[in-house]
Amino acid sequence: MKKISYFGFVLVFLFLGWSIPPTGLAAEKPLVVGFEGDAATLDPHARNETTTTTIQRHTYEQLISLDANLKIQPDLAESWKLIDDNTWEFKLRKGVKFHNGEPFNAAVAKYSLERCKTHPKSQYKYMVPDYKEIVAVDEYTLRYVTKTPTPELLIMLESVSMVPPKYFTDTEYGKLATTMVGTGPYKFVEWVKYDHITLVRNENWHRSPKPDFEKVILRPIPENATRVAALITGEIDACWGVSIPDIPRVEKNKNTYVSRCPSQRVIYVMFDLHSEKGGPAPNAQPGLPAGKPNPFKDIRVRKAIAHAINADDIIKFVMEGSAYPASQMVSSYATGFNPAIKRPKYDLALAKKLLAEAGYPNGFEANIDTPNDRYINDQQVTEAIGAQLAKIGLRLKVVATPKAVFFPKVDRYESPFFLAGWGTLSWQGTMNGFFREKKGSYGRTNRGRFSDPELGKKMDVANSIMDDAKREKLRDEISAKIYATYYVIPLYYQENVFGFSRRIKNAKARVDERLFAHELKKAE
Amino acid sequence: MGLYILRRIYQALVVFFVVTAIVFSILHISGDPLALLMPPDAPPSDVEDMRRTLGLDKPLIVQYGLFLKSAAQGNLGVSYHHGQPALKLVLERLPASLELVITTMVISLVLAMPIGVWAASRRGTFVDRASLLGSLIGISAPPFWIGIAFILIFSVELRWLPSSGRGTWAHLVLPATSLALYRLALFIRLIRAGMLDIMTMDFIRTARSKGVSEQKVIYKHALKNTLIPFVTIAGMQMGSLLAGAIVTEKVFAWPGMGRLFLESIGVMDFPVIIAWALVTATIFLTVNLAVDIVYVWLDPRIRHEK
Repeated sequence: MKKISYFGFVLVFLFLGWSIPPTGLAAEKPLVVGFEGDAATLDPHARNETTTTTIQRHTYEQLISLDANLKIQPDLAESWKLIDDNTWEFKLRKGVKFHNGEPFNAAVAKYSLERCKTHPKSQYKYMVPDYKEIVAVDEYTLRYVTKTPTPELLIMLESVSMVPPKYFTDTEYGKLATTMVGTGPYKFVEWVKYDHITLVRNENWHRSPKPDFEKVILRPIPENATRVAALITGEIDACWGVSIPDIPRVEKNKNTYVSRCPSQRVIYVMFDLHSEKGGPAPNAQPGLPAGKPNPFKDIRVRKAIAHAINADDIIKFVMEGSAYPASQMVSSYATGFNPAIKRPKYDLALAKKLLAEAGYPNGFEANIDTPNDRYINDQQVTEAIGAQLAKIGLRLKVVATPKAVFFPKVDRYESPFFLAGWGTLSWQGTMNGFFREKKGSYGRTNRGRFSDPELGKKMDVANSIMDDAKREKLRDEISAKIYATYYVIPLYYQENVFGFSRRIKNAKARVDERLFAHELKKAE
Repeated sequence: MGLYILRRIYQALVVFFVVTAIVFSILHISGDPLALLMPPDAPPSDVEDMRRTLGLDKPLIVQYGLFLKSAAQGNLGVSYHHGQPALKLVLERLPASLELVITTMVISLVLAMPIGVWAASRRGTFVDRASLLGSLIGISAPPFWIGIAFILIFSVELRWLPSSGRGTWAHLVLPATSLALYRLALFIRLIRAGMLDIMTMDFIRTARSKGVSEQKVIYKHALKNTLIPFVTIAGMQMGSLLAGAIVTEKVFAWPGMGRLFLESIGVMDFPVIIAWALVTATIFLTVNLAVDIVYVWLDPRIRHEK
């Protein structure tokens, strides 16, 4: 008797599982977009990270935005002009309202910029150029007076969201960080953390055409294989980050397709130029044999390595074609990209000759560090580099660690040679980060301690010339000098691969890794 | 009983203190959270600003003192990444985790008991050997692989069930079943072994010889005695599942505590990790207490000992 009731219960349970239809039967199926993670917060002036920003930008807008080719275009600012080297005047769009009814005007823009610069939780402070003052001249005219001439001001302001002052001052932070009230194409409905965000179309959006999809659901699905499975089953209509082995599956399925484009994220290797010899930190380099001199201080060694790494083979075999060769740390979409700089040619004979000249005819031993959970195939690429450099006699030990271990380690200058990635639109940010001594706002990513004060002075000039032609000329000159030191060796740009269902017409992956529901068009 | 529970609460406080000390020191020697918190292109001056804002510029011992002080007031700090109270973030995940764990435990217990008993009572037959082989597979298969395989079979190929997310009963079936597989296998083996052991004991022979029906011998006398060691293991399994069916939650995009923990470790969000550790410790202590109470109910000898 007991046994029967047990199995009866089991049967009922299984029946329940099967009998409920997997998908709802709503009239208008919402557009569902799958991301790799959830937004960390919905306060647009707090966490600065791609997924969080992308999600927020369905609701929040900026003075300026970037089109799919990362060209600057007007958004809440209709036009702008330089009054003198330090003064920018913006004409703002009229008649724009926040989703709660608050009007958008110059005072709002001033409030938003100042909040972004001063809020203790803000990770966007550096995106608001240092200012003497921000003045609301009249209701729709804003003057931005910088402390020093800032040619990259427009790209920087592209990161700063406009927020409604009344709502932001009246609302307690817990609610502010879990709701969104912007001017953008979608209105916020609800956030079930780690599960989904629901949005509905803003019928009064100031731009046209209006978004095609009325209701949008953003879902975090961290596991790549699951995200692709959900795309194939039709549970989601668009997804960010289709991993390389999954591309054929998405393409073969008749209801889905992929769109691929080069990312602005470059993968590079970098050397320690500072330590004299191997040994315990902080006075010596722990990644080199104790007591032995640091071979990477010799430019011939670095140049030899640049010529001995076969980036084309890495792209073809390790990245399975899903990457594009890179010659510099900014992509061709960025300001200051110098088309004259070419990749070092793969040339083993030259590399061996250079090493011999440097006094290492039989190579040497060193560690090469890499994260193993940060970039696509990061560890495999580093292992391939280790194997390629073995051909010129280098005996490299690949030290692969999670990003949570890797980044603090390279920040402590404890790696002689490592692989990492970088992606920004800013030439200035790249130069100040990589090629200046760590001080004040400089040198955060100068993890091999490159130092050239002369070049630094030139950078200061190049970062403040407001005349475009003059500035670009000086920038090209500085870039050429930098890459001739072989301090960093850019390898390749990663690829952004987005997956879409056939419900969406001709969708394209964006260079900046963002995926916007309002850019997706209905098929039919 | 009341005194006993009171003593347990006192022990719990000691456990909490030790847990915070261990987690705090492990975290702070493991590296600098600012390296991952601030965007890679943020200048060092902004990074140092944020360090001061978060109080990470103070000496470690001062940080720990401040943490204990606010923890005593029920405030475990604010998540670096989410800007929200850490304890709130963890507790918000608890219902999703509970839903998954209870379903998993129900599936595995409901199936394991009859199968285990059945296998034991037909020792050496085909049924017995099939259950042993099946449970071997269940114990050995990694949960990650099972999860992906389930998605491919039941979502992509058969289109019976949704692949991920939380919402309806249907969403619960795949993650709960893939988690239940290991527990089911473990429980079947435990019950079978326990039953075989008990069935040779004197009181079973006595029961049989006085003419008690075989059904009653198995279910009333043998199974109840088998359950005593079994309850401990089941309790531990439940605790560890609640703390985080980490891999399974990631594979099925289940919004539970495990996924929060995994993501917080990845970005070194210390306050969330500490809050998670404390909530987990509480869960284990509670489950242990519950197991002890169930013991008393199952085994009259414990009741009458004192």
